This record gives sequence, C-alpha cells and structure tokens, in this order.
Amino acid sequence: MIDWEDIVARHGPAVWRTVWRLLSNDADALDCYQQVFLDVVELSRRETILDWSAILRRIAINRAIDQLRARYRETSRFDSQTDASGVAGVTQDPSTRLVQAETAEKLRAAIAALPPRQAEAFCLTAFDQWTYREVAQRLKIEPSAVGMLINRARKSLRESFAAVAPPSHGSRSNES
Amino acid sequence: MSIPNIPNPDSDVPRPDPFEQAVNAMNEARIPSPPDAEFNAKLVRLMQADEHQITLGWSQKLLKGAIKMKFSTKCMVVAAAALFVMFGSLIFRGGNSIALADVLAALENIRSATWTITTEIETPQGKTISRGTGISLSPGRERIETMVNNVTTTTITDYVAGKSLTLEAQSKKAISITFPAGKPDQNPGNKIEGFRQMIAAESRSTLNARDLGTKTFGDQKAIGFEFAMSVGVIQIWADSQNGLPVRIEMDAPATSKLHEILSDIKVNPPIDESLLELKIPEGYTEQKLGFTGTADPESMLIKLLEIIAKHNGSRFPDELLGESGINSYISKLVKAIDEAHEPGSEASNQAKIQLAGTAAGAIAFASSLPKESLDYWGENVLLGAKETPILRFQHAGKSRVIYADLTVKDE
Repeated sequence: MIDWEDIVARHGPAVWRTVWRLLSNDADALDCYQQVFLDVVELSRRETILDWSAILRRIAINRAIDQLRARYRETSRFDSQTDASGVAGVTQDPSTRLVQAETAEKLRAAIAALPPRQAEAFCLTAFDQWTYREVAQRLKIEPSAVGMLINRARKSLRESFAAVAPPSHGSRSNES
Repeated sequence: MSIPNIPNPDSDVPRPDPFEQAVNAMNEARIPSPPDAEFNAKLVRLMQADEHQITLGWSQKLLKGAIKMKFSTKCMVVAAAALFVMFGSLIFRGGNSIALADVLAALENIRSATWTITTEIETPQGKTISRGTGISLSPGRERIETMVNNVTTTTITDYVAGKSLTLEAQSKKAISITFPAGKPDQNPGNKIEGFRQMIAAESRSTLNARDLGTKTFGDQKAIGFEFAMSVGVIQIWADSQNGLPVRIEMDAPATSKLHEILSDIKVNPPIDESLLELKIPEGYTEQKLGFTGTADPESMLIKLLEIIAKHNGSRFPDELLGESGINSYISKLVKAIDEAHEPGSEASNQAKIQLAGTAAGAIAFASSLPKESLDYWGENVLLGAKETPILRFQHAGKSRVIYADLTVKDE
C-alpha cells in the first residue's frame, strides 16, 4: 500500500516550487499542486512508480503548462495572472515589480504556445535543472534529440518573446 | 543565476537578451511557502479516496467540486450574498432582518427546509441577538420570522425575482425592497442555496476545511467540518448517518460582526407555499425601497472608494481592508445619512439601501481578492489625482489597476 502522506510530505515542496514558478499565482498553483498528486494516484493504478521525484516533477511541469495554455486560451492575450511579489529582484517600487512580472508573464505565454514536448523539455531543463540525459530517459529519446528539442524551443520562445511589443508604462510614470 | 546545461544558440550575443532575463527572473522568483500540513492532510485524504475509489461523502464531494469553481464566480456569489447582510444590519438595526441573507446551509438535493435561527450582530448601536424560524424553498424563496423585544418581524424574499417584503407586526409597516436578481449561478438564493454556492465558490479556502469530529445535538449524532472562507468561517454539522445538515454556524467579520446559527434543520418537509407569497396584508403601510446601483462588484468597490474619499476630505482610506480600510468607514457613512435624514424615514432608508448594497458588494469583493496579488497604494492619495494608481488586483483572469481618478485599466 502506498504511503501517500509520506509521498506528499517528501515531494510536496518540490512540486510546489515547480508549479508556482510556472504559474506565479497562488490560487492556480494550489489547484495545480493538488491535481498533480491526484494524477499520480491515477498513474499508480496503471504502473509501478520507481522514481517518485522524477515522475511528480514531470507531471507538475505538464500540468502547469496545461494550466498556462488554459489561461491564455481564456484571456487570448497577455493579461497578467502573476504575483509580482514573487518576481526576481523584488523592490518596493510597484512599477519595477510590474515590469518584471510582465516580462516573466510574456515568457509564460510563449511557453504555453510551444508544442507539448518542446515545452516540457525546455521547462525541465530551464527551471527544474534536469540534465539532457535525465530528460532523454524520461521522454524516451536520445540525448542528442533532447538538445535539438530544446534548441528549437528556445528559438521559438525567443522569436515569440521578441514579437511581443514592450508594455507601455506611461500611465504609471507618476505613481507615488 | 545562469541556466546550466543548455547550449545557447545565440552565443554570439555578448550579453543576456530580454528572453534570457525573463528565464532568469522565473528561476530566481521568490517562491511562497508550500501548502501547509492541514492542506496536505486534506489532499492525502482525497488521494486515498481516489486510490480505493471510495464513494465520497457529501463533504468530500463538495471539496472536489469546489476546486473547479472560477474566482470570478466566487466574487459574484460572495458579493451578492453579503449584500443582504448589509441591508439587514443597516436598515433594521435590530438585526432581525439579517434573515434576508447571509449565511447558509445545504445539500444539492435539498428543495425545502425549515430551521431555527439565532443571529448575533454587532452594529454601531450595539450588539443584538435575535431568534426566529425560517423556511427555504428552491428556487430562491425564503421566509423568516424573528422576534425582538416582543415585536415579530417577517421577511419574505424571492431572490429569483429580486424582491423582498418585510412586515413589522407592531407598527403595521411593510417595506418592499427590489434588488438586482443576478444570473442564476450568481444569485445568493435562500440560505440553503446560498450556503451551497458559497462553499462551491471557495476554491482554495474550501480546501482548508478541517474536521471538527463528532458531536451530539439532542439525540442526533453529527459530524462537523469548518470552512475558512472569504466572508468568514462556517461550521457545518451533518447527520452522521445520511450526511444532511443539522446545524450551521457562521462568523462573518468581513461585512459586519455577525454570528449566525441555523439549528434544528429539517430537510425537504412539505411547505405551504402561500407562506412565501410577497403579499402585503391589509392594514399595513407600504414603503418601497430599491437598490438601483450597479450589481458589478468591481464597480461597487470603485463607487465605495469614491464615496469614502468624498466623505474624507478627498483622501482615500489608508488601507483597503482592516482597521483603517473601507470597512471602517461604514458606520461613519451611516451616521452621515442619519444626520442628513430623519432616521426611519423613506429617504433615510433609501440612502441606506444604496450604501448597504454598494458597501456590501465592495467589501465582499475586496475580501475575495487574492491577497498575494493585491497592492494598495491609496494612503495619502487624493481623489482625482491623475495617473496615480491606488489599487492593483487580479480578477477574472486579468490584472486590473484602479487609479485615483477612478479610472480602471487592464495591465
């Protein structure tokens, strides 16, 4: 019998970091976090899970990407859903925080538009620090193919990212 | 922090481009604390139930169903429900018509119910306790009779039609109120329906529900759950045999200091529908009131900020919610109405209806906004200041900013 309490206790923090980094929104991350663990219950009925950490982080990435896709399908544009307080280089200046939040949000939107395997491979390496070998094992492809997958992802992301005009912050210039 | 193990196809670029900076920003993001042990315990219970494909109890069904609800729905439901709490607390002062709204009770298959109600409410005039009996009949109808100081007050409400009638036996006064009925899934409904909707709409918070164990009420053994929600804390005690609610308690500090208990709940008894007709008895004098403001909670918040600023020397509140927040101004605004109009007069009651509707929706909306993405900068900002943001929040999938000139923009 699987000790779910132990699974959640041991892997919950890593799953949380993964989903929150991609979603940057507590409510979405909580929903996603929960869904990851319910998904792994379903998966455990079909197969024996040997590496809980790897499978949970992979499910987390994919669920978070699914949620990003749903987010951008719903809004059809780069409306921010992010928590600016979680953005790197946090300052007390709301304008700076917003710029940082929007920059990260553009990347999220671009990730959501990637083909599924490219998005997964990119996120696993860029945000979860997986090696090419680990990605290759989990995606059941050659390590060299992982490199191509990620390069294509990065090229697409950079193009998508560049295609989006910088946000205008003129209306906030006098805030105090 | 750089990204390891990833060859950069644009290696001739001498310094990080915006794309790389965005990747780094996400990598260096400050991640909030993971869900706490209580949340995880609930999650584990759901996982165990899923693993063994256990038939879920009603409370677990509520939890699972609640997860799918959208935040925007939550805001609308909470705002609408809270609106009537405010009507009661401001118009009738005795707390008896608290009956019109707030709190709850419920299961999806309950069509009718009877119950007794005890309400404690703290108003600017002091603490009032009222007791009464109630009838709920779906869709959206309700009758509550309360007695305060030997005066019986009956409130009959049809939430679908957007009408209510309050009859005061001693003074033979009938107050008819019209209000925005709203869409079916946004309508607070009667207490049973309202409770169900509020639970279902509380995605995150509902997951914070905790077991209260078992308790015996009379000869009925019940299991209890407590839900921390945007509008307050709700405890539900359900028959341990059939899962039907027998007692519901709610504390709602966000809109007013309210403690309400629905007890002795009887589910699906036959109901005499004539008791729910909005008909004024002979000999009563009618006073017609209506809430004519917007039913959109975001607009209600903007309107309340404007009202407060105009009352406060053009200054916005120091904080959105709290001791110096929008909620702290309600009693002052009521006092201003009482100074401008004779208390109890039609003009006074109408002004209070407008204030109550706007304030309840605004406070409930503000209380429902995700705290982690809420920024308030209104302190020391004057109404009308150009290009000066006072509030940023997430709503309906958008990042919204309200400015001091009361314009609102998407970001």
